[in-house]
Amino acid sequence: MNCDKIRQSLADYAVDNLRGTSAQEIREHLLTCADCAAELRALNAAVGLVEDVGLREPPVGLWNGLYNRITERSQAQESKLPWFRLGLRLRIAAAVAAAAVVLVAALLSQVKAPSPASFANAAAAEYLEGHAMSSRNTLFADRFSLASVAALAEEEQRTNE
Amino acid sequence: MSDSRSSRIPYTIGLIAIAGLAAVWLFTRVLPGPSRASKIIIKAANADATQSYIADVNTETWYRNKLVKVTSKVYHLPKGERTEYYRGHLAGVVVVDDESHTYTWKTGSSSVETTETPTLSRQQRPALLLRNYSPSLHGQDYVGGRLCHIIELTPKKRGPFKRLWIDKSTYIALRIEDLDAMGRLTSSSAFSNVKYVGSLPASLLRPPTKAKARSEPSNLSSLSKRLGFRARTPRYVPAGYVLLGCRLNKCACECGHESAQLVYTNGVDTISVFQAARPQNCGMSGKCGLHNMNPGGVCLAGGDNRIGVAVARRGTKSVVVVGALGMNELMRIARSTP
Repeated sequence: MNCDKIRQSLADYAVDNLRGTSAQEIREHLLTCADCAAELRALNAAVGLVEDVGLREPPVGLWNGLYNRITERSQAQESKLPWFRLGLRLRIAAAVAAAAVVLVAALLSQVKAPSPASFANAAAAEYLEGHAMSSRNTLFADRFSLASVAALAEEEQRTNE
Repeated sequence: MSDSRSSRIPYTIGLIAIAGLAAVWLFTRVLPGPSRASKIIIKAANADATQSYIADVNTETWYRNKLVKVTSKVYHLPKGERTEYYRGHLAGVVVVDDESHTYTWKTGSSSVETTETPTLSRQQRPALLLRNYSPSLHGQDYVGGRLCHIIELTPKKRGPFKRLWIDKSTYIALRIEDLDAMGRLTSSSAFSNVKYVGSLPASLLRPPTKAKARSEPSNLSSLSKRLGFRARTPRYVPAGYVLLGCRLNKCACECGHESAQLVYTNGVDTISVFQAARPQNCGMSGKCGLHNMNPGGVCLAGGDNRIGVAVARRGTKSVVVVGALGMNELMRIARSTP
């Protein structure tokens, strides 16, 4: 094995990433090559420095700063895009908004205005009362609720006279 | 030869007997018969004719899209029932039901009104119910401290539902929920503090004074003479509904307005078909105060969104149909009345 190939593998050898014959070959070479042995000593010193410093937390905002710089670059690139790609997002947003307007309009058109049938009416109350009173003797009739309806209907009639 | 024939006779008789027993077993077990829920309903239909009890009742009713609550104390006897309302808009009102009439008065007042309440016989009522409704059992729950079956009555054709909580021991309905055809709750009454007693005094069912009749039983011929127009039965009535009776109905505001009322029932639900002369005194003189008159003279006089009131002009009279079947069905009945 020549020194070029040995030096390519020296970094892995320095952190014990090599096993078996590859490591053996490098060991045997280092015994006979002073240059490669010096290279290994320098690598070990660098690893040692890193270990001495220890783990440090990155400064706050480091990643956000990186992200912002990346996105600035991509926006700058987009500003250089042709007009038919520049407005794509805007056109999609406009289309979605238009579809939403159409959908809402369609839904609203199905909602009918409150029918006059929902307004109170003294005549209806008269018949509601008569109906409630005549329903009392039906099997399992809720006669308590029917009395309530009859009284409310009668009250409505008297109020609307 | 004859010996072998005579020795086969006992075997033949035995085989016939076994086949007969098997047929009976098949008929009672395998072929459809009354469900458990139906049996409970039949027992419950007659339970109130044999029991006396006192209970508090909490009632909630949807009226004009508002929830109205009342509370009452009920004294039930086999021959009738007295209900004293003590909370809500009915506080102070007493209602007495016997088998054919309802008496209503306010405590301390000398004015008693009576309404004739048509009914079927005790045998007819459950039979009609089971013809038009499918009862189903939905477990059990406690109401008023009493363990109850939960039974749901589902109409065989589209219509209102009913849920009942029936006391497992006495078969009295201790909670009743009414739901419209859309499955929305329209009313609910639940018993609490239920006490079953041996007997209650019959004087509880006596009104304090002579009552003034708000309605009277009648027939079509008498109604026609009285009201000045021909009272007729509608040509279309929803399937399953039978005519319960005819009444002369008087307006509560004592304006003198009267109408013919035909009451139909399917065993659980009722429809009332009123017929009154035009013009009328209670706001129905062709102008019912509404702005949306459909061509053909049918207008919707409103009502609660669960109980509908449909009106049709039919010659010299107005036909008003009240029920919980939905406006289309009520209008169809109104329009079909000659």
